[in-house]
Amino acid sequence: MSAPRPAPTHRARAAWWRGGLLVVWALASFGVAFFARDLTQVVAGWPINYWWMAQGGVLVFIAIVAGYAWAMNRRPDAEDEDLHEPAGE
Amino acid sequence: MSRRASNPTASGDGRYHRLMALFIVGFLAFLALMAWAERKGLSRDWIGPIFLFLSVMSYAGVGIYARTTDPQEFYVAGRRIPAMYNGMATAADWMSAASFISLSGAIYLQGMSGTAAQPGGLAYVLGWTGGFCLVGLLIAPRLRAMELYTVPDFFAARFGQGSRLVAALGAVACSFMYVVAQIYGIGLIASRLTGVQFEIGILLGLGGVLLCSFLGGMRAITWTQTVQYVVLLLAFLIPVSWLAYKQLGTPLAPVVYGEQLPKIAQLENELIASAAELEVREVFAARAQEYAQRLQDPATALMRERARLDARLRQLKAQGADLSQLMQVRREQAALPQGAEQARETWTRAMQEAQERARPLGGLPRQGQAFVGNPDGTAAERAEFNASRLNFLALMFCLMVGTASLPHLLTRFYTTRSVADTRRSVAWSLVFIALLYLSTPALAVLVKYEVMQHLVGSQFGELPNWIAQWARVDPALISVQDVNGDGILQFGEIRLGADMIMLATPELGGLPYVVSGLVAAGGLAAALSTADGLLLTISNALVHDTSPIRDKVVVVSENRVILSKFALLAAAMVATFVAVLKPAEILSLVTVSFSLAAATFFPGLVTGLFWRRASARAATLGMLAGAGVTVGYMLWAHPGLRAWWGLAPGGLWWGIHPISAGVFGVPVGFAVIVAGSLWQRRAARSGSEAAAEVA
Repeated sequence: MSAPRPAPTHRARAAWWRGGLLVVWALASFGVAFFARDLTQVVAGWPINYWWMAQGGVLVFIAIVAGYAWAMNRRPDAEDEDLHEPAGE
Repeated sequence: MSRRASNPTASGDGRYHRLMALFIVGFLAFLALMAWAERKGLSRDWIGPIFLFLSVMSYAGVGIYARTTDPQEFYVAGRRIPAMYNGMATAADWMSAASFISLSGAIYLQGMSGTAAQPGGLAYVLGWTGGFCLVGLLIAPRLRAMELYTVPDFFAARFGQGSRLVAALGAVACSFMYVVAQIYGIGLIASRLTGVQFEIGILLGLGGVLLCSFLGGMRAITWTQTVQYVVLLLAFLIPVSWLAYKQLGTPLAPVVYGEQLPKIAQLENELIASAAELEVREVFAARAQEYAQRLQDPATALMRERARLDARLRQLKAQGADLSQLMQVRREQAALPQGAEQARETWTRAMQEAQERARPLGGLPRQGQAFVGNPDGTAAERAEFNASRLNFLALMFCLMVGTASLPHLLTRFYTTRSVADTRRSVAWSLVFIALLYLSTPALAVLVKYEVMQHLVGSQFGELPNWIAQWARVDPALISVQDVNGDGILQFGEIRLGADMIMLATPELGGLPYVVSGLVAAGGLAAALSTADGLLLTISNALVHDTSPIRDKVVVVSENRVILSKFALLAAAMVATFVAVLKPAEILSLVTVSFSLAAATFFPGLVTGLFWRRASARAATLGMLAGAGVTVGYMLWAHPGLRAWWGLAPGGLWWGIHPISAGVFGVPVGFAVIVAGSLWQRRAARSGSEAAAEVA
């Protein structure tokens, strides 16, 4: 868009948030599922693997999305940091 | 429900909250009234139709109230939906008949992770929620910032005409497949609820969708979807809580159902060891062998079968047997395949089913075990384990990436007031979805316990009514046969379809019939809300995304809106026609459209949004390549189609089943876009160098 491009540090901060949260996302889903067969320990009446894939993972995803929204919306000018629009060539 | 507040302020939101609260209270009062009427003797034949007509009429009412021809309103609801309500609408848009009707059934049938050939179970729960991380972090905020109307608009703005047309085509293809599954679900519910024919059921339900989306476009759809969300959430939580209260003494199903897992494991062990179950398995093993024998020479076997039935008929006539026995033989005769080719097909399927049911627990994996096979067992068991795990991960990948690519979902995030609201709205969507998704595995586990503990072992003469009623809707949904002839129902003698388990839950748990009506209304709300969004996406792709571009901006006008409305009608008609043919189970249709959407859109979206150098031509090629690989693999590796092409069974790449074909399509799409863009850039640079030399 036509908005002036923000300082690279702001963009970098958004990128770090995204990258970090995506790593958490991948570990919580693919990472846990890969080892699901071995996670049969029972904690508080629940087998860990079943609980994680049925509930724990979903709760982590909510935390990721909500955390990102919070982090990006914290500053009023934060909008632009995340949003530089590649213009194409 | 009137929500035409035009001032996007906090006081406007207050009005929404009041109306929503009013609706919830009204709906609960209506439920109480129905429960009271049932106790006073209101016939079941009335309860179902009342739920069906009242819910469809109220959705249509919202549609009529919010009618519009203004493009801003029709395409993006005026971009002034508050984040929370947009999240609610997204949740309803997102949770389709597959989530509401089929998902708990799938977890019941496939257990924790499904088998290698049919991965599933909790992969759907993780995949369909995890995808929102990609939506919220990568896609939705940037798309919202561009102030577009549709997803192909993004490709028009970023890459130009070529990839825009590919995107429009892809949007039509995957939305169409998806909407067929929804309409099938609508027909299923409406026909069970009112006792009318499947086809008429479809038309009844569809009337409501069309009235709503035809008149009001995105604005009407948004507000209907929020209402539908309330209906479907209550319709899911009430029976689950009730069942949990019956079994465990507390309504908080998602918190406590873990207790049932070890009990189910115990029951599974008992069932596997039970002598009666073994008898049933032996009968099925014998049947499988019989079919295998016939398949060695289908033509001769078919002749032998015909001769056998003719002889039997003559014998019965000579004995003067009664009409019902004669009819039975005649039915068997009519059910025989027409020719040798058809016989091979039918009997192969019958053999596979019998083989499946000859396995422990009728071929169902154990509920609490992750993946089939054994990582420490023989080579074959290890291979089975690895294939099962790989297919689980591949399915999860396709569902997640597909979530971040499906046009009907992404356009929902165009309707918020700002980019910040879009981010908040994604979080709200996931919260609203989780309210239902955390209870879905709970329902599967509770129903499984109910079946294993109470239904199995009952006398055949005393089976509950609902079994026969569901079998009448479609025999593929449930079949119960006394296979070993002992008059007692064994677990191996029950065959359930994924699509009926949720809908039959109230009857299975012995809840009042009002709850059955409510569940059906909830399933209808889920199917209708998704069908609304999908039909709008299809018609927009057909009309808006083929309209002229001026300076990379798509021209919008009221005429186009009116054209869109008629395209919507036409799309609904065609989809209905296909749904009447009952092409496949809801869940597999939906999963295939996720794979396709993932491969078509995701690489183009991500590179277009994040990589300046992605070039237009490379994007078009990459989208075509991704979709091509996905569709090609599906056609090439699908077992039924392989037989049709005359290929030997097998032919899977790394053992991945065609349902997760997107796992190949997505990387191919990325690779083509990146390689193409870099190559084009290099070519352009050397071109300009050459030009400079000449000058």
